[in-house]
Amino acid sequence: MSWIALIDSVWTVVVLILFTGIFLWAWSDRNKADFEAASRLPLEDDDDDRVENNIKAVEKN
Amino acid sequence: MATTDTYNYKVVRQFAVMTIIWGIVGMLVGVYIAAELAWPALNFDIPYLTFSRLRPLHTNAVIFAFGGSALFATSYYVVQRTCHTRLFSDGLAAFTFWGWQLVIVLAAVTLPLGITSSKEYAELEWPIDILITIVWVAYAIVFFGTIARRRVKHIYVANWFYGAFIITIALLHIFNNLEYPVSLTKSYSVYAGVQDAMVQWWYGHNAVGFFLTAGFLGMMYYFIPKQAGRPVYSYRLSIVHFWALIFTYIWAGPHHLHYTALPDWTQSLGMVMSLILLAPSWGGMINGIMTLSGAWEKLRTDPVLRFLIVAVSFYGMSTFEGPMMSIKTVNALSHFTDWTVGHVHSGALGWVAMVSMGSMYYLIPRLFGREIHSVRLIEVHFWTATIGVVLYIVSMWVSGIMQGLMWRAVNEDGTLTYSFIETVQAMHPFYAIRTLGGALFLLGMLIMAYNVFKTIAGGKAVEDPAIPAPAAAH
Repeated sequence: MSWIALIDSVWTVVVLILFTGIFLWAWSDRNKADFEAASRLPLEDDDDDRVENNIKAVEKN
Repeated sequence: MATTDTYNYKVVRQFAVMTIIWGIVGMLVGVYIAAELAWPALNFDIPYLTFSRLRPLHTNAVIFAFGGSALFATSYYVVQRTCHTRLFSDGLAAFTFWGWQLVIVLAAVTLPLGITSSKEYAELEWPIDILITIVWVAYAIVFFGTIARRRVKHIYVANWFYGAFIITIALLHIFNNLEYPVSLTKSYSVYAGVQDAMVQWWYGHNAVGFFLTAGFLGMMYYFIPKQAGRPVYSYRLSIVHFWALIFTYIWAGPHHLHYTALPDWTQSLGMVMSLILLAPSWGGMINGIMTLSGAWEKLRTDPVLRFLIVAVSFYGMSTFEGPMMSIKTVNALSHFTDWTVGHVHSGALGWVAMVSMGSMYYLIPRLFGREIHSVRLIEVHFWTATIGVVLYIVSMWVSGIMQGLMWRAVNEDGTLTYSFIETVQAMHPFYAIRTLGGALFLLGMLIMAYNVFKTIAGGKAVEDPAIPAPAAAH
């Protein structure tokens, strides 16, 4: 086995372990609350009020 | 302090408006070359109007000018709003806008002149390639610089997709465009033979995977939750789906080179990786669509949400079709036929264009401080576009499969049943239907432009909105 083939094999295993790790990390109960908070990030930023205020400002002019 | 307390909306507005303009230009060229295929006399024997020169103009215009502007606009908007900070540098952001427009104009001049490196989706010659690289590095600095100074702890998932898109496109663009210049307008690839083909399709398929998928998934993860008013269905699924996509997509390129001089094992690897891709692709699709779970009735009343959700449905369809077509035995029938063209357009029109349109309908009122001129016209646009896509892809399925079957038909004595020109004749009506489908899609885009123009004309550019104060420690 050439050293390039060896690197290929080792890399495949490393990536498999890495991905499994990411999967377990994503689904661990410890992180559940954090992820739920993160998923609300766009919704807590309310840009609609601003549009309505601006519409009023435009209409006033 | 003014520079840190407000968002930069100017560059977002510029890219948003150019998205619509370039969309019309790119799709118009598309409709024209579709008509040329049905009625070849339309090239009028003028070299600049031949299919061979206009086709790369069409692909570059819709992918990089229309899609690219949509990606710049939305990524700059999303990264600011989810990081609660102004773009890293107003000057660099403006440079990316003007630089990108210059690239597009140069493409529009050089491609009809026949100046091309002849690599699909990477036709532009070396001086333009260098300009793209410079603009792209500036883009990366602005985007990641903004993330680096975010005022919230978490990096929202949409930014992960945009970030992956920016990094991967840099990598792909540089390695596929390594070339020896022989004059200002001519260069040769540093790769030769099958290596050149492999690098080209490593680039080509990942342009699909990262330019036309990852970036637009970033849109999906921001604009669907915003428009639906509910958080993404599963944040955990979004993480796993992101990494699965990253780990897999990069290997799928060889499926473009089935039954070629490429080593057989590489072809099989490309096929297997393409089949595996079904899982992360559908993970993303399910996540987008299920975000509406419990609020399905919104689809009946909200045409913007309908654009976004139908786009994700087309994403699901074309990411099912793609892996199927990468299977060698299926590919033996589909390759070089119109089926491939239909597949690409179900992704490009159904997914990429429709998710961009939905996002623009969300953005434009917020950028110009005015309700959209007419919701009714969004509705009309939606149906025009949907009927257009369906006509396009169905005609190409029928035409492509028929074409493939006619090519492989043999008589008892082993001679071919059909001459090549007979297959061309058989495809003619479907080329006409395809042109009609494309024209409807373009018509929808014109309706959008009118609606947006009326909206902008009646509103005014909003002043850069203030950034919310950092939340108290919790």
